[in-house]
Amino acid sequence: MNLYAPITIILADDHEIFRDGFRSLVQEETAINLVAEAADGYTLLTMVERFKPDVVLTDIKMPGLNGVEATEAITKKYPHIPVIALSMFNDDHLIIDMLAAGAKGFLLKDAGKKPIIEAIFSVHKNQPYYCHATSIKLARLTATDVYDPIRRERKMPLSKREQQVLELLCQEKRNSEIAPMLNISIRTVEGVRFKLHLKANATSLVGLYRFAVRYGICKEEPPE
Amino acid sequence: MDTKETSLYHIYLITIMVIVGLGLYFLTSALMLRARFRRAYDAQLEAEINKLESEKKRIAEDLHDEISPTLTAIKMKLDILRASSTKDEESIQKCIVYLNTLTEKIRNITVALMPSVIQDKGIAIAIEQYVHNLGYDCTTDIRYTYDPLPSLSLQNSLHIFRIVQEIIHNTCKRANATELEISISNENKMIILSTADNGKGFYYDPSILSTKSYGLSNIHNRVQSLNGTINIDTAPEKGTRFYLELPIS
Repeated sequence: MNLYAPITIILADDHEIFRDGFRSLVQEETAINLVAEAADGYTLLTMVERFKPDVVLTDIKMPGLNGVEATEAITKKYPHIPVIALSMFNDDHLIIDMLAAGAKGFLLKDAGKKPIIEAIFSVHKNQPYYCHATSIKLARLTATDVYDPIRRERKMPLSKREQQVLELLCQEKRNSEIAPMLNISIRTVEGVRFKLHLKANATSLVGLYRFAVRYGICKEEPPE
Repeated sequence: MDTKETSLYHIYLITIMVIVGLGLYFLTSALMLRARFRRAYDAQLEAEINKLESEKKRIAEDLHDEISPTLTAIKMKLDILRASSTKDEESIQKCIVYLNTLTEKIRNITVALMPSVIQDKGIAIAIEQYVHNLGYDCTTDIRYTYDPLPSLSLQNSLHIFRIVQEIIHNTCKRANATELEISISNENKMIILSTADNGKGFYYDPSILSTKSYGLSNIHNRVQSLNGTINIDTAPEKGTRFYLELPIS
């Protein structure tokens, strides 16, 4: 890699006026060379194919192929070409989707010149980059488990009442004992148990117990 | 004489029957008219709510497609200006700060008008995101659980989203609650939305709700548009529980 050659980039955004602003912004930077622009995802893929840029910057909401789909396609075919997401919004799901699609950076469109230039240099050196607003969000998303690509399937499927009943069942309590403890009727306990079996896909108490352990509801040792 | 009495009796009988018949006729037609007015009123209400939502959507799209990119482009053009004096430089920086504030405001307005997550990810995730992003707007501890839901029309999703928003808003602003539980599940082609808070509750009389609280009548109107049922269980110092059954058409 020639250290002195400018970083080649491609921009995709369906708003001409934004592309115009972006163009004038990077024209100032001699170390960056905007080689092509696209107004939609399909054109972006064609441009990437043709120019093999160092870095791609793409909007998320675009007609035809959107930014998430385009990013997936690019990172699959050219894993060495980093993609930066450009978004008007930093909604949780946009950040999560773009990162899951393989984006190396996330920038709010109005982040300003400095973060945009920094992001391009950063991902070019294979270091992820998130603008200030996004990194705060990302920290909270990971802290609260909302963004957890590995354990996303393990969302608690039970209501609070169902959890309470299951916890008491783990303690070998009978329906007639559970009802007064939770201030509900035996009928209600039976109803909740029925639902628990359905949700746990269990035919016996053992099945329920295994389910409870998996979700960390049973805190005590299993009944012998 | 006998025959005269009989015929008089018949006349009385017929008159009474005619009067009763007329009475019944007027009564039923009055009832039918009322029902028709009611239906017309409901239909009008629903049309108005839907019109309002589609207007909101249009404005949000205009803000996103026209205003925001233009503001961003202006900011970028300002960013590369080289001022010839410190005074000019100060002016440019001020403009950038103003633009940042404006962009942020427009961003918030756009999301409030039309959360794009509803279209992108469906109602269950949209509510999760809404709850997560409340931050300091709400000090009530909100717990939210949901079942996987079938995909709904944008119109129905918006109704459900606004109902949940309204309930959360009421709880945070008025209920004085420390906890709010929200659950959405999907049973027998029904979406069940149930919420419970431990707040101060309120005196609730279903017959006067439309005049009393805009928020509650808004919820009722939307439930009606969804052909659903709503059950509100509350009393002073007893917390508030909402239970809604909304058919999936």
